[in-house]
Amino acid sequence: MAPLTPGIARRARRPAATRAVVAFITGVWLALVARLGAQAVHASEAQVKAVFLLNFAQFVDWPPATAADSQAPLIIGILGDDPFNGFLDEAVRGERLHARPLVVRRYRRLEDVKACDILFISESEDERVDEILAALKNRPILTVSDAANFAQRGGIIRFVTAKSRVRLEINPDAAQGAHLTLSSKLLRLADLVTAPGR
Amino acid sequence: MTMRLRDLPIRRKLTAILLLVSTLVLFLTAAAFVTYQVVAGRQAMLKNLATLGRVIAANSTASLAFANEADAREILSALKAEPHIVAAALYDAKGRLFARYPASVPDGVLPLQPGADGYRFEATAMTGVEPVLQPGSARLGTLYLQSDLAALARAVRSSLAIGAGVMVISLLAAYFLSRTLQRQISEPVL
Repeated sequence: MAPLTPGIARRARRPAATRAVVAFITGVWLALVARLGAQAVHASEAQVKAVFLLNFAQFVDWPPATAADSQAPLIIGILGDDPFNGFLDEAVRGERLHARPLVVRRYRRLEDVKACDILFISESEDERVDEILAALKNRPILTVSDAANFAQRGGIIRFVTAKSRVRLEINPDAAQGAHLTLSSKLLRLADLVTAPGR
Repeated sequence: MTMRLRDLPIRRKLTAILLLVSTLVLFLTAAAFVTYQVVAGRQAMLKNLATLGRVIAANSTASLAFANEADAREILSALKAEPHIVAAALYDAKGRLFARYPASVPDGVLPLQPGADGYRFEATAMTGVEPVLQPGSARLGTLYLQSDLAALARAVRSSLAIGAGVMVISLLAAYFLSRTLQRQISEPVL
Protein backbone atom coordinates (compact mmCIF):
# COMPACT_ATOMS: atom_id res chain seq x y z
CA MET A 1 0.00 0.00 0.00
CA ALA A 2 1.44 3.25 -1.10
CA PRO A 3 -1.31 5.80 -0.74
CA LEU A 4 1.14 8.68 -0.46
CA THR A 5 2.24 10.39 -3.61
CA PRO A 6 5.98 11.10 -3.86
CA GLY A 7 5.31 14.82 -3.23
CA ILE A 8 3.46 14.21 0.03
CA ALA A 9 6.05 11.67 1.13
CA ARG A 10 8.81 14.27 0.70
CA ARG A 11 6.83 16.83 2.66
CA ALA A 12 6.17 14.27 5.42
CA ARG A 13 9.90 13.45 5.66
CA ARG A 14 11.08 17.10 5.89
CA PRO A 15 9.17 18.04 9.10
CA ALA A 16 10.46 14.83 10.74
CA ALA A 17 14.04 15.74 9.88
CA THR A 18 13.55 19.29 11.16
CA ARG A 19 12.08 17.97 14.37
CA ALA A 20 15.06 15.69 14.84
CA VAL A 21 17.54 18.51 14.31
CA VAL A 22 15.65 20.80 16.67
CA ALA A 23 15.53 18.06 19.29
CA PHE A 24 19.26 17.47 18.96
CA ILE A 25 20.14 21.16 19.28
CA THR A 26 17.81 21.57 22.26
CA GLY A 27 19.38 18.56 23.89
CA VAL A 28 22.89 19.89 23.44
CA TRP A 29 21.86 23.34 24.64
CA LEU A 30 20.16 21.95 27.75
CA ALA A 31 23.21 19.88 28.56
CA LEU A 32 25.46 22.92 28.24
CA VAL A 33 23.20 25.05 30.40
CA ALA A 34 22.98 22.32 33.02
CA ARG A 35 26.74 22.03 33.01
CA LEU A 36 27.23 25.79 33.32
CA GLY A 37 24.50 26.00 35.94
CA ALA A 38 26.15 23.25 37.95
CA GLN A 39 29.43 25.05 37.66
CA ALA A 40 27.89 28.29 38.91
CA VAL A 41 26.41 26.53 41.94
CA HIS A 42 29.68 24.74 42.51
CA ALA A 43 31.63 28.00 42.37
CA SER A 44 29.51 29.74 44.95
CA GLU A 45 29.57 26.68 47.24
CA ALA A 46 33.38 26.70 47.13
CA GLN A 47 33.35 30.41 47.77
CA VAL A 48 31.03 30.01 50.76
CA LYS A 49 33.20 27.24 52.22
CA ALA A 50 36.32 29.35 51.70
CA VAL A 51 34.78 32.22 53.64
CA PHE A 52 33.62 29.87 56.37
CA LEU A 53 37.13 28.47 56.72
CA LEU A 54 38.62 31.82 57.46
CA ASN A 55 35.68 32.86 59.64
CA PHE A 56 36.26 29.85 61.88
CA ALA A 57 39.39 31.63 63.10
CA GLN A 58 37.21 34.25 64.80
CA PHE A 59 35.29 31.69 66.82
CA VAL A 60 38.05 29.30 67.87
CA ASP A 61 40.62 29.75 70.60
CA TRP A 62 43.90 27.93 70.14
CA PRO A 63 45.89 26.96 73.25
CA PRO A 64 48.11 29.80 74.47
CA ALA A 65 51.34 27.95 73.65
CA THR A 66 50.71 27.92 69.92
CA ALA A 67 49.43 31.47 69.81
CA ALA A 68 52.43 32.73 71.78
CA ASP A 69 53.67 35.06 69.06
CA SER A 70 50.86 37.53 68.51
CA GLN A 71 52.23 38.40 65.07
CA ALA A 72 52.71 34.84 63.82
CA PRO A 73 50.59 34.08 60.78
CA LEU A 74 47.48 31.98 61.23
CA ILE A 75 47.83 29.13 58.77
CA ILE A 76 44.93 27.65 56.86
CA GLY A 77 46.09 24.47 55.19
CA ILE A 78 44.60 22.35 52.42
CA LEU A 79 45.55 18.67 52.47
CA GLY A 80 45.02 17.11 49.04
CA ASP A 81 43.43 18.66 45.96
CA ASP A 82 42.41 22.31 46.22
CA PRO A 83 38.67 22.58 45.55
CA PHE A 84 38.44 26.31 46.16
CA ASN A 85 39.56 27.57 42.76
CA GLY A 86 41.40 30.57 44.14
CA PHE A 87 38.51 31.67 46.34
CA LEU A 88 40.37 30.87 49.53
CA ASP A 89 43.41 32.90 48.55
CA GLU A 90 41.17 35.76 47.54
CA ALA A 91 39.17 35.63 50.76
CA VAL A 92 42.30 35.51 52.88
CA ARG A 93 44.13 38.37 51.17
CA GLY A 94 44.72 41.23 53.58
CA GLU A 95 42.74 39.61 56.38
CA ARG A 96 44.02 39.48 59.90
CA LEU A 97 42.98 38.02 63.21
CA HIS A 98 43.97 40.73 65.67
CA ALA A 99 47.58 41.30 64.53
CA ARG A 100 48.07 37.90 62.93
CA PRO A 101 47.96 37.75 59.13
CA LEU A 102 46.10 34.81 57.57
CA VAL A 103 47.97 32.64 55.08
CA VAL A 104 47.04 29.64 52.95
CA ARG A 105 49.35 26.60 52.62
CA ARG A 106 48.87 23.56 50.48
CA TYR A 107 50.06 20.12 51.55
CA ARG A 108 50.31 16.94 49.52
CA ARG A 109 51.41 14.64 52.31
CA LEU A 110 50.38 14.51 55.93
CA GLU A 111 54.01 14.58 57.05
CA ASP A 112 54.33 18.07 55.57
CA VAL A 113 51.74 19.41 57.98
CA LYS A 114 53.88 21.04 60.65
CA ALA A 115 52.56 24.35 61.96
CA CYS A 116 48.94 24.60 60.92
CA ASP A 117 45.95 26.07 62.64
CA ILE A 118 43.05 25.14 60.38
CA LEU A 119 43.35 22.12 58.09
CA PHE A 120 40.90 21.41 55.32
CA ILE A 121 41.05 17.76 54.31
CA SER A 122 40.06 17.52 50.69
CA GLU A 123 37.79 14.97 49.01
CA SER A 124 40.84 13.48 47.35
CA GLU A 125 41.92 12.14 50.74
CA ASP A 126 38.54 10.61 51.57
CA GLU A 127 39.83 7.05 51.95
CA ARG A 128 42.64 8.13 54.24
CA VAL A 129 40.55 10.30 56.56
CA ASP A 130 40.75 7.87 59.47
CA GLU A 131 44.53 7.56 59.37
CA ILE A 132 44.91 11.32 58.90
CA LEU A 133 42.76 12.02 61.93
CA ALA A 134 44.63 9.42 63.95
CA ALA A 135 47.96 11.01 63.04
CA LEU A 136 46.69 14.49 63.95
CA LYS A 137 45.22 13.39 67.26
CA ASN A 138 45.81 15.82 70.13
CA ARG A 139 47.42 18.38 67.84
CA PRO A 140 45.86 21.84 68.12
CA ILE A 141 44.56 21.83 64.55
CA LEU A 142 40.97 22.57 63.57
CA THR A 143 40.17 19.77 61.13
CA VAL A 144 37.51 20.53 58.53
CA SER A 145 36.21 18.45 55.65
CA ASP A 146 33.24 17.52 53.45
CA ALA A 147 33.98 13.83 53.84
CA ALA A 148 31.08 11.61 54.81
CA ASN A 149 30.72 11.10 58.58
CA PHE A 150 33.78 13.25 59.12
CA ALA A 151 32.58 14.45 62.50
CA GLN A 152 31.59 10.97 63.70
CA ARG A 153 35.02 9.73 62.66
CA GLY A 154 36.74 12.27 64.89
CA GLY A 155 37.00 15.32 62.66
CA ILE A 156 36.01 18.59 64.25
CA ILE A 157 33.88 20.35 61.64
CA ARG A 158 32.11 18.90 58.63
CA PHE A 159 30.53 20.93 55.82
CA VAL A 160 27.11 19.56 54.94
CA THR A 161 25.45 20.97 51.83
CA ALA A 162 21.67 20.80 51.86
CA LYS A 163 19.25 22.83 49.69
CA SER A 164 22.08 25.07 48.46
CA ARG A 165 22.98 25.96 52.04
CA VAL A 166 26.20 24.94 53.71
CA ARG A 167 25.51 23.70 57.24
CA LEU A 168 27.95 22.65 59.90
CA GLU A 169 28.35 19.46 61.87
CA ILE A 170 30.65 19.78 64.84
CA ASN A 171 32.17 17.19 67.13
CA PRO A 172 32.85 19.08 70.36
CA ASP A 173 34.76 16.15 71.91
CA ALA A 174 37.17 16.20 68.99
CA ALA A 175 37.67 19.92 69.53
CA GLN A 176 38.37 19.31 73.17
CA GLY A 177 40.85 16.56 72.26
CA ALA A 178 42.68 19.05 70.09
CA HIS A 179 42.79 21.54 72.99
CA LEU A 180 40.67 23.98 71.05
CA THR A 181 37.89 26.09 72.55
CA LEU A 182 34.98 26.68 70.20
CA SER A 183 32.80 29.71 70.83
CA SER A 184 29.26 28.94 71.95
CA LYS A 185 28.09 31.25 69.15
CA LEU A 186 29.54 28.79 66.64
CA LEU A 187 28.32 25.69 68.45
CA ARG A 188 24.71 26.82 68.57
CA LEU A 189 24.62 27.07 64.78
CA ALA A 190 25.83 23.55 64.21
CA ASP A 191 24.50 20.05 64.56
CA LEU A 192 26.55 18.60 67.36
CA VAL A 193 27.80 15.10 66.78
CA THR A 194 29.55 12.55 68.92
CA ALA A 195 31.75 9.69 67.85
CA PRO A 196 29.90 6.39 68.21
CA GLY A 197 30.79 4.35 71.25
CA ARG A 198 31.00 7.36 73.62
CA MET B 1 -12.35 105.80 105.59
CA THR B 2 -10.33 107.72 103.02
CA MET B 3 -7.10 106.19 104.43
CA ARG B 4 -8.62 102.74 103.86
CA LEU B 5 -9.30 103.59 100.25
CA ARG B 6 -5.78 104.90 99.71
CA ASP B 7 -3.93 101.85 101.05
CA LEU B 8 -6.17 99.40 99.22
CA PRO B 9 -4.51 100.20 95.89
CA ILE B 10 -1.10 99.91 97.62
CA ARG B 11 -2.00 96.46 98.89
CA ARG B 12 -3.20 95.46 95.49
CA LYS B 13 -0.11 96.91 93.85
CA LEU B 14 2.18 95.01 96.24
CA THR B 15 0.28 91.78 95.68
CA ALA B 16 0.33 92.34 91.97
CA ILE B 17 4.10 92.98 91.95
CA LEU B 18 4.78 89.92 94.11
CA LEU B 19 2.62 87.75 91.86
CA LEU B 20 4.25 89.07 88.72
CA VAL B 21 7.74 88.40 90.00
CA SER B 22 6.73 84.93 91.25
CA THR B 23 5.13 84.03 87.95
CA LEU B 24 8.20 85.05 85.99
CA VAL B 25 10.55 83.14 88.28
CA LEU B 26 8.34 80.06 88.32
CA PHE B 27 7.89 80.12 84.57
CA LEU B 28 11.62 80.31 83.95
CA THR B 29 12.26 77.53 86.45
CA ALA B 30 9.57 75.32 84.98
CA ALA B 31 10.80 75.97 81.45
CA ALA B 32 14.33 75.04 82.49
CA PHE B 33 13.03 71.90 84.19
CA VAL B 34 11.01 70.75 81.19
CA THR B 35 13.85 71.49 78.77
CA TYR B 36 16.29 69.52 80.89
CA GLN B 37 13.88 66.59 81.17
CA VAL B 38 13.37 66.46 77.41
CA VAL B 39 17.06 66.76 76.57
CA ALA B 40 18.12 64.25 79.22
CA GLY B 41 15.27 61.95 78.20
CA ARG B 42 16.39 61.94 74.59
CA GLN B 43 19.98 61.20 75.57
CA ALA B 44 18.85 58.36 77.79
CA MET B 45 16.71 56.88 75.03
CA LEU B 46 19.59 56.97 72.56
CA LYS B 47 21.86 55.37 75.11
CA ASN B 48 19.39 52.57 75.79
CA LEU B 49 18.98 51.88 72.11
CA ALA B 50 22.75 51.82 71.70
CA THR B 51 23.13 49.30 74.51
CA LEU B 52 20.46 47.09 72.99
CA GLY B 53 22.12 47.42 69.60
CA ARG B 54 25.52 46.42 70.86
CA VAL B 55 24.17 43.38 72.67
CA ILE B 56 22.20 42.12 69.68
CA ALA B 57 25.10 42.79 67.32
CA ALA B 58 27.51 40.85 69.53
CA ASN B 59 25.17 37.86 69.52
CA SER B 60 24.69 37.97 65.75
CA THR B 61 28.31 37.57 64.70
CA ALA B 62 28.28 33.82 64.11
CA SER B 63 24.95 33.78 62.26
CA LEU B 64 26.35 36.30 59.79
CA ALA B 65 29.77 34.64 59.61
CA PHE B 66 28.22 31.31 58.69
CA ALA B 67 25.20 32.54 56.74
CA ASN B 68 22.63 31.05 59.10
CA GLU B 69 19.41 32.97 58.56
CA ALA B 70 17.32 30.96 60.97
CA ASP B 71 19.68 31.74 63.82
CA ALA B 72 19.79 35.42 62.84
CA ARG B 73 15.99 35.62 62.91
CA GLU B 74 15.96 33.94 66.30
CA ILE B 75 18.44 36.43 67.72
CA LEU B 76 16.44 39.38 66.39
CA SER B 77 13.26 37.96 67.89
CA ALA B 78 14.74 38.68 71.32
CA LEU B 79 13.84 42.32 70.57
CA LYS B 80 10.29 41.39 71.52
CA ALA B 81 11.39 42.30 75.03
CA GLU B 82 11.52 45.97 74.03
CA PRO B 83 8.02 46.90 72.81
CA HIS B 84 9.18 50.25 71.42
CA ILE B 85 11.30 48.57 68.74
CA VAL B 86 9.10 48.58 65.65
CA ALA B 87 11.56 47.03 63.19
CA ALA B 88 15.06 45.63 62.99
CA ALA B 89 17.25 43.97 60.39
CA LEU B 90 20.61 42.36 59.90
CA TYR B 91 22.55 43.06 56.70
CA ASP B 92 25.47 40.97 55.47
CA ALA B 93 28.96 42.31 54.74
CA LYS B 94 27.82 43.38 51.27
CA GLY B 95 24.88 45.34 52.69
CA ARG B 96 22.21 42.87 51.57
CA LEU B 97 19.22 42.26 53.83
CA PHE B 98 19.85 39.01 55.68
CA ALA B 99 17.20 38.77 58.41
CA ARG B 100 14.33 40.94 59.55
CA TYR B 101 12.24 41.53 62.66
CA PRO B 102 9.35 41.17 63.00
CA ALA B 103 8.87 38.52 60.32
CA SER B 104 5.91 40.39 58.85
CA VAL B 105 7.52 43.82 58.57
CA PRO B 106 6.95 45.22 55.06
CA ASP B 107 9.93 46.06 52.83
CA GLY B 108 9.25 49.81 52.87
CA VAL B 109 9.93 50.08 56.60
CA LEU B 110 13.50 48.80 56.37
CA PRO B 111 16.17 50.74 54.49
CA LEU B 112 17.68 49.09 51.39
CA GLN B 113 21.15 49.79 52.70
CA PRO B 114 21.87 50.27 56.37
CA GLY B 115 23.41 53.77 56.18
CA ALA B 116 26.05 55.35 58.40
CA ASP B 117 26.87 53.82 61.79
CA GLY B 118 25.40 55.58 64.81
CA TYR B 119 22.22 56.34 66.68
CA ARG B 120 20.00 59.29 65.79
CA PHE B 121 16.56 60.83 65.94
CA GLU B 122 14.63 61.05 62.71
CA ALA B 123 11.26 62.61 61.95
CA THR B 124 9.06 59.83 63.27
CA ALA B 125 11.49 57.36 64.76
CA MET B 126 14.74 56.78 66.51
CA THR B 127 17.17 54.68 64.44
CA GLY B 128 20.40 52.91 65.17
CA VAL B 129 23.02 51.37 62.91
CA GLU B 130 25.53 49.12 64.65
CA PRO B 131 28.44 47.27 63.02
CA VAL B 132 28.53 43.52 63.60
CA LEU B 133 32.03 42.21 64.05
CA GLN B 134 34.17 40.00 66.22
CA PRO B 135 36.94 41.99 67.90
CA GLY B 136 40.12 41.90 65.85
CA SER B 137 38.47 40.85 62.60
CA ALA B 138 36.80 42.31 59.54
CA ARG B 139 33.23 43.51 59.67
CA LEU B 140 30.70 40.74 59.25
CA GLY B 141 27.62 42.85 58.66
CA THR B 142 25.34 45.52 60.09
CA LEU B 143 22.44 45.73 62.51
CA TYR B 144 19.64 48.24 61.98
CA LEU B 145 17.15 49.15 64.72
CA GLN B 146 14.10 51.36 64.52
CA SER B 147 12.28 52.53 67.64
CA ASP B 148 9.08 54.56 67.95
CA LEU B 149 9.05 57.89 69.79
CA ALA B 150 6.20 57.02 72.12
CA ALA B 151 8.43 56.94 75.18
CA LEU B 152 9.81 60.39 74.37
CA ALA B 153 6.32 61.77 73.75
CA ARG B 154 5.20 60.41 77.09
CA ALA B 155 8.24 61.91 78.83
CA VAL B 156 7.59 65.33 77.28
CA ARG B 157 3.91 65.21 78.21
CA SER B 158 4.56 64.20 81.80
CA SER B 159 7.29 66.76 82.36
CA LEU B 160 5.04 69.50 80.90
CA ALA B 161 2.24 68.37 83.20
CA ILE B 162 4.51 68.34 86.24
CA GLY B 163 5.96 71.71 85.32
CA ALA B 164 2.53 73.25 84.85
CA GLY B 165 1.21 71.67 88.05
CA VAL B 166 4.12 72.91 90.12
CA MET B 167 3.72 76.36 88.64
CA VAL B 168 0.00 76.58 89.45
CA ILE B 169 0.45 75.34 93.03
CA SER B 170 3.37 77.66 93.63
CA LEU B 171 1.48 80.63 92.23
CA LEU B 172 -1.50 79.92 94.49
CA ALA B 173 0.83 79.63 97.47
CA ALA B 174 2.59 82.83 96.41
CA TYR B 175 -0.73 84.65 96.13
CA PHE B 176 -1.92 83.70 99.61
CA LEU B 177 1.49 84.28 101.15
CA SER B 178 1.81 87.69 99.51
CA ARG B 179 -1.66 88.71 100.72
CA THR B 180 -0.69 87.84 104.32
CA LEU B 181 2.77 89.38 104.20
CA GLN B 182 1.81 92.61 102.51
CA ARG B 183 -0.73 93.24 105.28
CA GLN B 184 2.15 93.19 107.77
CA ILE B 185 3.90 95.86 105.70
CA SER B 186 0.96 98.11 104.98
CA GLU B 187 -0.78 97.94 108.42
CA PRO B 188 2.06 99.53 110.51
CA VAL B 189 2.10 102.37 107.95
CA LEU B 190 -1.55 103.16 108.70
